[in-house]
Amino acid sequence: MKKLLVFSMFTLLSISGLFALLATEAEAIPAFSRQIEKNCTVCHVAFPKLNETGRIFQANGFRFPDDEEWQDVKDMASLPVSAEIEFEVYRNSDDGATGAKKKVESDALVEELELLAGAPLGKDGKVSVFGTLAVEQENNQKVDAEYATALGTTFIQINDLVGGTGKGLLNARAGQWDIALPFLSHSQRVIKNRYLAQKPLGVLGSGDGSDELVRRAVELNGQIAAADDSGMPTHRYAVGLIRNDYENRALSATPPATEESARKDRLAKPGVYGSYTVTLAEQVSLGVIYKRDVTNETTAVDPPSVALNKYGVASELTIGPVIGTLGYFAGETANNLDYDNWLIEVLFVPNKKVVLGARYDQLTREQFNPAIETTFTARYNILSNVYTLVEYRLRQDDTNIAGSNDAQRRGRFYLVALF
Amino acid sequence: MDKASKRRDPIHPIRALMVGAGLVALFWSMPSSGAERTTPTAPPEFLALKNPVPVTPEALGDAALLYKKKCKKCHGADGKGRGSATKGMKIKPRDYTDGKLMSTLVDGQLVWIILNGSDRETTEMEGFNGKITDAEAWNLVHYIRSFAHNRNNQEEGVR
Repeated sequence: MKKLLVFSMFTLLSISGLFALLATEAEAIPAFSRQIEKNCTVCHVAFPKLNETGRIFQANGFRFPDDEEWQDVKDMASLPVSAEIEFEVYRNSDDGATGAKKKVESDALVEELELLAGAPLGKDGKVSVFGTLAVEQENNQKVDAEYATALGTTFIQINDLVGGTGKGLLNARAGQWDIALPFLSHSQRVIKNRYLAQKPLGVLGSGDGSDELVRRAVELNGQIAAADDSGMPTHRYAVGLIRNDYENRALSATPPATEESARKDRLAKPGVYGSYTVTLAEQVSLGVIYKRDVTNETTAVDPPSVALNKYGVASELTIGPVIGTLGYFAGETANNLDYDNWLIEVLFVPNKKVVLGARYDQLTREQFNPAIETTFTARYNILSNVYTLVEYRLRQDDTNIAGSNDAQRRGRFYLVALF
Repeated sequence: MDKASKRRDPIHPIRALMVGAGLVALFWSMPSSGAERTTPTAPPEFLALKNPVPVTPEALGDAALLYKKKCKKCHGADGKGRGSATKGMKIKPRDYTDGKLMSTLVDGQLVWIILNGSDRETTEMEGFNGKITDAEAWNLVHYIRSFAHNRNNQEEGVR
């Protein structure tokens, strides 16, 4: 059954790759690009990372403020569905204990097949929807891992609760998504390696030991976008309630006795979060994020509810073809061995074909040695919707505070097509 | 060995910053497409063309609707080239209200860019050939020119 699935995915990849290579650039672009009749680079520095135009478009329920009415998706000619296929080859290696042989594992696989759909609905764009459905490896980079179907970012947003149509001053959103900063989030990674501010720390994305990136939430968000050439800053803000994450139990001093007990009453005391970002002259962004994650678990030792404060501050600076990001994140844990995280990332985008990137990510935890990940990426866009990527990551984490026992050295090659 | 005794100093953020600065310097020294406008010039046969579509209120009205649908998000409602889709662009669309600039661009050049697009490496202007008719493209040329005319008239009115 699994072989059949893998064979099907390979066949699908081959066919889609062939179509992508044969198609003209204008015909082979995904749904949003088709809707707005613009190339991907209008909104993306390098897919999936958004530029300032993309951030305005996304926060505004996939609408440009200049457009006063939107194409109704009842028109089947503009069906807003895209697909993404990722083919991956990887090689992981670890030094064994003294005298032991080096451990190596490698594989080639279809890492993910994802369907994406999103659009403003109706001509006034009062409601926007977005959804993703992925068939992906259950356990990232484990040889012979099973595939599973998972719902990714999926939400409904009611736009323009106050202010004019298309301004997005205040919107209400419900669903599940990557709760992070508009310029720094997992769903916008060009460098494929995950941020340490996610999995162990839980400030960006889901975290708390979870492989998932999305959290279920309800949110009020909005933006005050600078007028066309006013030189004024753009402000973005969000506050929301998050559902207790089952994976929070990983942070408890004493895990629950059974999964049954951990699953009870997740909405007893929802977590809260808020974020604010200001962007100046389309080149400098500064953002802060705060989360109060609540674990609604009953164990013999822990109280029924544990609240953990997590916060982060980050900035992004664009100078010509260079985009630099600096971030500091911190988070409490139930056993008081708190985390600190420093992140530095540099992307070099000299033209529409090439992206080079490097990231230094350091996690410290009281009483433990720090974990450090250094990642280098080179990417080549074969077409606007097809790219290859080579990435090398070096990890130092001898006390495994970053979790998941990831390999010390990891090389990856990707071929990604969107259509 | 207990964990506390194994603890060693983490890498200092300043050292990490220096690594970042070094990477920026390395990347900066690499060749890249400059943010210079490299608009292609239309073939001579296009440059010799005069707008064959007469300027009428109806033609301008039709062009205004088309501009709103296809052009406004980049070129802006006021034609200054600062629409909401230009925030990430290193090279912004031209300012159509600049009479001096517009006087240097002949009708044939404007219609050729509308139909065939500009430099794909440095701009996002794609051609509309096949998406709009030739007559609509010529109508747009009239409408684009009206931004500079209107501004000129406003300035004369002020004087």
